[in-house]
Amino acid sequence: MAELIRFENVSKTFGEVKANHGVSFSIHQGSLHGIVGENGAGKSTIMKILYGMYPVDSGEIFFQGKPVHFKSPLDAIQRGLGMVHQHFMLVPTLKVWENIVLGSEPEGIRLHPSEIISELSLLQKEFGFNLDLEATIEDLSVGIQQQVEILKLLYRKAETLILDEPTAVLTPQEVDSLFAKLKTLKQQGKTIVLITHKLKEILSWTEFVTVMRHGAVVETVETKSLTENSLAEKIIGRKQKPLPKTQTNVSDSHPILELKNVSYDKLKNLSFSVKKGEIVGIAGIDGNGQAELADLLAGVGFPESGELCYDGKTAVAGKTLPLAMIPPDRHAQAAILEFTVEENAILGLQRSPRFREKVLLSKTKISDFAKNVMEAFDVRPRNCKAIFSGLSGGNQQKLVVGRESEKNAACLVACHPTRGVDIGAIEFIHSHLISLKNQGKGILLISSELDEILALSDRVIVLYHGSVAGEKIASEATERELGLWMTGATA
Amino acid sequence: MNRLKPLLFPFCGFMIALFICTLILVAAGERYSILLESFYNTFFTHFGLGYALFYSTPLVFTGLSVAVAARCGLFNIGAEGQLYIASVALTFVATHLLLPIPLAIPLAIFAAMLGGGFWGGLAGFLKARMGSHEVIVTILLNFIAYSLTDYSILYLFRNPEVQNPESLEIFQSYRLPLLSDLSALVGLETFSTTPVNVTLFFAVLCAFLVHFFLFSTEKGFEVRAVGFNPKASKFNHISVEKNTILAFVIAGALTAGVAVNEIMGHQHKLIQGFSVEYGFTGIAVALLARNNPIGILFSAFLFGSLHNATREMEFMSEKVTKELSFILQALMIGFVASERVISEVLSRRGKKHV
Amino acid sequence: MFELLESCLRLSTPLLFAAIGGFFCERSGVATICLEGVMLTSAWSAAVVTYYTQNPWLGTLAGLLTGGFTMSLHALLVIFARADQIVSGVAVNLLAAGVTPFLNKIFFSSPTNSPAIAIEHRFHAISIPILSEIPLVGRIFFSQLPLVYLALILPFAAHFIAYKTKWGLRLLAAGDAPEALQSLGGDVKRTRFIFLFIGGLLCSLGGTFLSISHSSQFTRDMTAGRGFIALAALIFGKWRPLPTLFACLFFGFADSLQIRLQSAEWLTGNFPVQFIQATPYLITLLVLVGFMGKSRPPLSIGKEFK
Repeated sequence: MAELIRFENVSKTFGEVKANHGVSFSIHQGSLHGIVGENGAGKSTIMKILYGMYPVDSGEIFFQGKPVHFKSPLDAIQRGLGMVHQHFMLVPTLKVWENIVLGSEPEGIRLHPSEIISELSLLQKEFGFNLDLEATIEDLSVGIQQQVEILKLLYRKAETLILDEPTAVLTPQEVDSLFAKLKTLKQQGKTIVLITHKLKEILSWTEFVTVMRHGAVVETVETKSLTENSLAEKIIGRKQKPLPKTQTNVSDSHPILELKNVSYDKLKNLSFSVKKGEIVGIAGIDGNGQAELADLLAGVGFPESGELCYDGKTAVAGKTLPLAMIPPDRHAQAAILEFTVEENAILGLQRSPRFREKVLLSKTKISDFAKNVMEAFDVRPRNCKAIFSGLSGGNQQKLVVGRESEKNAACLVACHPTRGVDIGAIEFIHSHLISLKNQGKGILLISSELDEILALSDRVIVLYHGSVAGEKIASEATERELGLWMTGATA
Repeated sequence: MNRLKPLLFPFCGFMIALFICTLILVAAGERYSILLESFYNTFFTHFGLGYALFYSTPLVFTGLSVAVAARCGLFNIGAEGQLYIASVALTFVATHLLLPIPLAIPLAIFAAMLGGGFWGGLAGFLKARMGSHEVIVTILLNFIAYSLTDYSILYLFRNPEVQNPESLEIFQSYRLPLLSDLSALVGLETFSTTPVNVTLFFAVLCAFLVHFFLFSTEKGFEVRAVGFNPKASKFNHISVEKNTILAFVIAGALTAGVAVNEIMGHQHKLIQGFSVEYGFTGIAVALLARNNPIGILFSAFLFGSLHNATREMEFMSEKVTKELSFILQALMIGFVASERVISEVLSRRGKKHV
Repeated sequence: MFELLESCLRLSTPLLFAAIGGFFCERSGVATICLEGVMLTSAWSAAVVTYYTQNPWLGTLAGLLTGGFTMSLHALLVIFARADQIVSGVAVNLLAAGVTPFLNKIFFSSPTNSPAIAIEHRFHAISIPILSEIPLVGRIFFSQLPLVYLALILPFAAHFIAYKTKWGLRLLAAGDAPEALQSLGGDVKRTRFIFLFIGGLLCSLGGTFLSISHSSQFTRDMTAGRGFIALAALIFGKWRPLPTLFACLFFGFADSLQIRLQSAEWLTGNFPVQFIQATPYLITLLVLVGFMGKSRPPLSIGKEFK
């Protein structure tokens, strides 16, 4: 196979952060090439550099043997590259066909929808797509939106497709059909680059893999030569820590949190309960009511019908439940980026008398509290006056987890607790959740990472269109079955 | 020194704006020194300084008003309307209720705060409950406030003996002493015949109170949290609606100081259109001080002096109008608003040279 | 009654220019509260140039250039200096409120108004043959100032550009998902700048209408909040040109009614004129409060784009 793209010693820094340093590897024409690494390993950055989104600081990129410097994605697109970003680059208010032609409209000022649609239909046929071109993007499911993104690239005659974490929002079945589609495209001669942090995808679909860690390449090898364990070790640079032992003592305790036929926004007739001393996992594709469930439990919303009970008492409108919560979106919901670390440490606790000196807030009491949390939850750097946004994702999340644990509530709702954090923080947070459970707290774990749910939960509930599609003891659940439930098949 | 650093940039902006204005004046055929002369007169004569302080006093209040709203993520362009409603409330009380001084003064101030707070709270309510954008709402409320004020002057407490529309004089017990009178008591002659009065002290006190409110109370913490991130506030049980309304009520109530300064301290009556755009200048004052209440004391003084300087120029020159200060404010706001890009460019330059 | 409709059309005209101008600005993803300032500067320069050259066409050209320039300042601040869009709008409005009386005093030694333009140097109503002779309706709709016709066509033209052309596609993409446009090789900054400039030009026609068509001179603050009412009309019209047309006509009607009521003797005798004067603002406020929540702004408006 001929070499298509070669990186030589590419480095890139953002401010103080070395996103890439000395990156060198090659991608072969017509191959399915995986780039794997944990969050922040620099996989997206190196591809965005290739795609002309960031300039290189030093080093060279060769494309078809010649050095290239794409100044913008437009340059890259013209050379037959195309990228599907992790956050889709679609205009939600426009139609599918409008999104596809945007930026590369046919000749002439006026648009002729019927001509464009018939041209696109041909394209769909050629590559085996079947999209409703007149639909508006915001009405479509994420899986379909992703297909629009791929079709968009094919319309631009892309020969090399780069996909950044394409499966993060898909069900196992959708993942399968995506890879089937990618396989067909590969057979038609396209080169495909897959950026992911999921080992299974790398092992089952790619031919070559480049492992990245801390902004540098660990190695590029043929996938055949790897096992799951050897790949995992290469990614984190050490052996994974095992999770602490869990005790199960659920059977006799009463539910701390219970939903009875609750309807609210996307949630329809939702019923489940969480008992003290167990972890209940809520699986499902994003957008099936997880965010609404979090809103409801945080007191941002209130059930339109049905009952929400906490510790045996029915919730009242306008009174928030005394539970602890790790909100789904760290930046938008869990913390205030512009505040200092210590201010974030007392966010939500600011009315507590423990921070008060007479009527005013006491600066020293707040600092002492924040320092304790930072110590206990290993938040670095240990500077409680630092601006929160300066912390890394993992440290931010550990502070949030610490703050919520300080509430010492009988129930913790953890929404995507490890999203976008490094492996060290993931291990820390996972073992913390288990130790809380062992202390007898009830934990509701909402996550789109099926692996995480299966590893931590006692029971798994699959959410589909705002209702329970199925429930299972975690140790008896299979990924296939849960995946079917995620797409609407009922138990 | 590090605490002063954030103020360096706005101050440079002010200086550059002054420089550009000088160029404009020279282009208009003025002598280049006219701006300096007027500033000299402002800072180095009792008369000039007295007036500068008199003009600074309302700007402290409107600056604080804009800043409190801004800390809650709200843009209060309505201070102008709020201060008029506060004036109407104050004048109504002070022309209708004959009370002894210890009752009269607190009552009048309270009435003014109630009036301003109500008008501000209205904008807050519309924003919080109806989702209307506060910028357009406050501007429309300004226009409505002007009409209400005109109406009140003409129908509620008009002085029939004068041609121009103005209110009756307020009762003696509502009048505040001038600083020149106070200093005369201890045998000093300061501020000659200028109207600067004890409201100035009240303004300084308010700046400190607002500072304590924002940074040392849980309510202030919540107001700031909402200002930075309403969604995260909601998730942490901080009500966005309540704090939006609260911030606007406080913002409106703060403009009461303008009414106190003007009516109880100086004119002793409500005159149509007395505010020389104090409400709008408050935006520039707050921006220059980066919404820091203590910084506002200084930036208000800067803009108060500027106002007096342009007024002096109006006397000195055929060509200059007091609207020159708007141009200066606009330049400064534009400069401060582009701070990030300018400092990025500067730091890039600096790096290349090293 | 017919006079009322005629004055409604005239008073809607500046609102229409500003609102459709604002449509292009805001749809491109930039909050534009400086319509007021753009109208004010263009009203001033149109009046001054018409006064000196005795030619309203040159006055209009001057108004366009000034208004376009004023909006470019906002565009520069917002797009290239990444200033807060509202703050920048405030700065531009302040600048306009300062520069116009300042220059006016230098030119005419009075900050309040420019000298009156002789009636023969102003724009006049154009009667469309035949159509204008239709009884009653003819005079209202087909015997109007030239800019009134243009203003009435404008929303349709804006609708065509925004929803039927590739420029429109890019306009909408820049306002709703700038990153998507950028990722496809579109230039968001350039798109925004161009549409802000076009919006500025349209908006300045509204300003020139005030000073050389509707009246005969510039007076200080003659826009009197119309830029903000136009913005409210745009919101009321859900950021779409055709509904905005009706919103503008509605506000224009409220304004003409207000003027009519001020001179109605049966009313002024027992009702304070100040309340009547406040009605357009009050109505705008009420409409805004009623409709804001239901109207979805362009998705990326007010957000900084790097």
